[in-house]
Amino acid sequence: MIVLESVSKTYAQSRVRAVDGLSLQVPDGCIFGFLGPNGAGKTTTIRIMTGALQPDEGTIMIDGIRLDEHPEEAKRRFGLVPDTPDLFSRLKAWEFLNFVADVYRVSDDQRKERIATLARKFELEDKLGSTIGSMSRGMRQKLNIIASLVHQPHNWILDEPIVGLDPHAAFALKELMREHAARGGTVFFSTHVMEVAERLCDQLAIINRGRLVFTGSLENLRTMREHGMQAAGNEDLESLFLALVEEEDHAS
Amino acid sequence: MRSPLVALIGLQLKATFAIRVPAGDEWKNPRIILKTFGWALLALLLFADFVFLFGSMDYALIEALAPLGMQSYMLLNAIATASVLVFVLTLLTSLSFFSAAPNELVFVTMPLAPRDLLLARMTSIYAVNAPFALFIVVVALVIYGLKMGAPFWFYPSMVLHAAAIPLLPLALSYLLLVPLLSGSRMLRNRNAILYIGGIIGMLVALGFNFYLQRMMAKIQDPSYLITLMSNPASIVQRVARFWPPAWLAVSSAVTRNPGISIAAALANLVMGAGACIVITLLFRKRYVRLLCEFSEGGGGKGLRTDVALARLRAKPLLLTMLQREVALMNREPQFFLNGPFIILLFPLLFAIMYLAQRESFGELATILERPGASGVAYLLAAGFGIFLGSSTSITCTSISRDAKSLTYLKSLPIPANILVLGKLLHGLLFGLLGIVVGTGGLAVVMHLRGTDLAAALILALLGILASTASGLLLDLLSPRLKWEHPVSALKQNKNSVIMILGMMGLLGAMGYLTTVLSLPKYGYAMLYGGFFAVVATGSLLTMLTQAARRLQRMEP
Repeated sequence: MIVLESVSKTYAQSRVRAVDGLSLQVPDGCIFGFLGPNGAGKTTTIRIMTGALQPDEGTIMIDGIRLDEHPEEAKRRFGLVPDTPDLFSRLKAWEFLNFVADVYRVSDDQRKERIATLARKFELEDKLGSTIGSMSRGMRQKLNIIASLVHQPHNWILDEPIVGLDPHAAFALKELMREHAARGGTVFFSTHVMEVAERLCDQLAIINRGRLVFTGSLENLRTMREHGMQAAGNEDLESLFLALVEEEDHAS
Repeated sequence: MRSPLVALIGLQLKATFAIRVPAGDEWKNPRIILKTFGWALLALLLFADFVFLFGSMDYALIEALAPLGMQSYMLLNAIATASVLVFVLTLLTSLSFFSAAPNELVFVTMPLAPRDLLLARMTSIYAVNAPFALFIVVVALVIYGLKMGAPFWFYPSMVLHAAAIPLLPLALSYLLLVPLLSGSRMLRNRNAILYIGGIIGMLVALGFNFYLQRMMAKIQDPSYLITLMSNPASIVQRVARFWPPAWLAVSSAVTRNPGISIAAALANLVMGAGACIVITLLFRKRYVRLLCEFSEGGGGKGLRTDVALARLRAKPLLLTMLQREVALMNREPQFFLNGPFIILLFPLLFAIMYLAQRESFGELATILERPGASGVAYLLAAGFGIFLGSSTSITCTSISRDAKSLTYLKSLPIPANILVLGKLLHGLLFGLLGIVVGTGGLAVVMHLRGTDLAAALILALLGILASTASGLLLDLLSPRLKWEHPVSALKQNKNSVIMILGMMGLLGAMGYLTTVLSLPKYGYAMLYGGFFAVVATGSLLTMLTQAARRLQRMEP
């Protein structure tokens, strides 16, 4: 479970308030979609959740462990697929995976078995000996997905994971996300692709200008809209999302 | 509306000379004002340094040649120097721009003529190298003009020649490189280009250094100068006779007819520009094909899957971090050539200085053999090891070099102290190499034995520990986290300038102290070693207590 309580962040250099009093609860056994327009604060939130950025206010708990008090223990509880796959381009794929496995203290046998299985699933077996810099964006994204699962984390955090993936890999990823949640794990992912969120997510959170504008299930969103100014009926997530964000923009 | 060619040239020039001047409200920020003036002052000092270097050489040369009535040979020397230097620089610049070919692929997708692509690239290379030719020739011109009272037409004529000097090398560079790179798959690789260009560049710098050192050492010897300038077999004479731009420039300089002088200058310009146009017409399509081929990537399959999987083995985290540091630094040519490679480069540079100025080194040896100072030769060995080991900029840029992956690294459960200790060990590893090459090498040359050798090694180790730890602390406190090109993280990082100049200053101060303090033989080692131990301990303690907090606050 991931819990964010009243998290705020203003960037020191630009003075932009990227996240403003955000509170979220991501329960176990749930696929949680994190939606928002460009610049809404999704990546900043994920960076705060994963300890890459320090919030000005608020706390983050990963499986009940406070990130600011026990950072290493909390970080061992999640695996991250970052928004940029361009990491360590001079390393070979197996060297990067070995590095991550060392960091998470995965035993020799476990790392070999898990990496071989995941590489097969994402059709990356033949590329394990290649330099990361020589791989396509999609391959690098697959490698980051594999790296995030080497230690079999309870919480899986993915920042725009579908971007750059071929249909086969996108399907494999969605399957893995479902399996992870079915085993009782948490999946928290940000996306721009509404169809994916609509089909995959048990719960959603929509963020705009750093503030949370909705959290709940798709049905909750439809109900909320029905009780609002306009009847939502069977509107798809995209229409609901656009209407909600537009309203928020007008209100602010 | 500008033509596509003019627009492309404008863009290439802006990309090549990305000098940013503060605008508007930025002038109200004291930090920006200070930084801008600091850079301007640095540029001015650098310019003044080169004016002094070339100016003093030209002045000494014209003075030495005056009794023989051979003053114009000073101009001949400047033209030959500019021609050779610019030829090599142009070749290297043309080669290095191929390493950026993938970035230029976007232009290939635009409706731009292949001719325009090549012409725009050649223009930016000309813009990079023309200032060198102009500088060398203009400095010589001013000295010659003032000393000899040259007529007014002499100056524009020679400036036109200086402007023409880089044109023919530019055309020849592409005449050589386009077929060479087209024919070699191995060379059509960014890393290969960077390594070849980097190593050739350093060799050229060493050669040029040797030439300058030799010239300065022999400047007071008229017989040497006469041989150098007038001997038909000398490089200066050969360049003047066989290299058309130099031949035309020399003809222009010695004639008393303004018409002939200006006509020779124009002929020089037309010849160079014509050669560039011919090359553009000949190679435009092959050049564009090369840009595409450079972007093909094709990293290959590398290791077989079973071999790669067999290599997955657990290690202690500190060793993992050290291995990562070494791999990432040594595999990035920009980092390697400007970092660990320095340990091999500097001894070579000093060897050249020694060969060029043996006589001066002889004086140094005499000073060292002076009673009271002879016993402290071990300090020289220790100092050279410290100098080499601390000149790699490994630790003082290690956080900056990680800027692109810092966000990800911070999301991993790596204790901050382990992360910085991995970086410290990386610096120490190459520091030790510096000690082996520097202290060890000099110890062999100076026949250091027993306690002298032990004192040199211990002092060098303490010095390296101090410089490595304080460098890392500096980068931890003030890293450069915003950069586009890897070289900006290392070479254009203020921390590497502070550490290199700081260590040079410190070693210089210690050298001075050795000459003024009267201590027992190993008293100096105790004093300097104690200082290094205090700096190292202070830096390490501060680093280990501050690492987590500092890393947490970094926002790449």
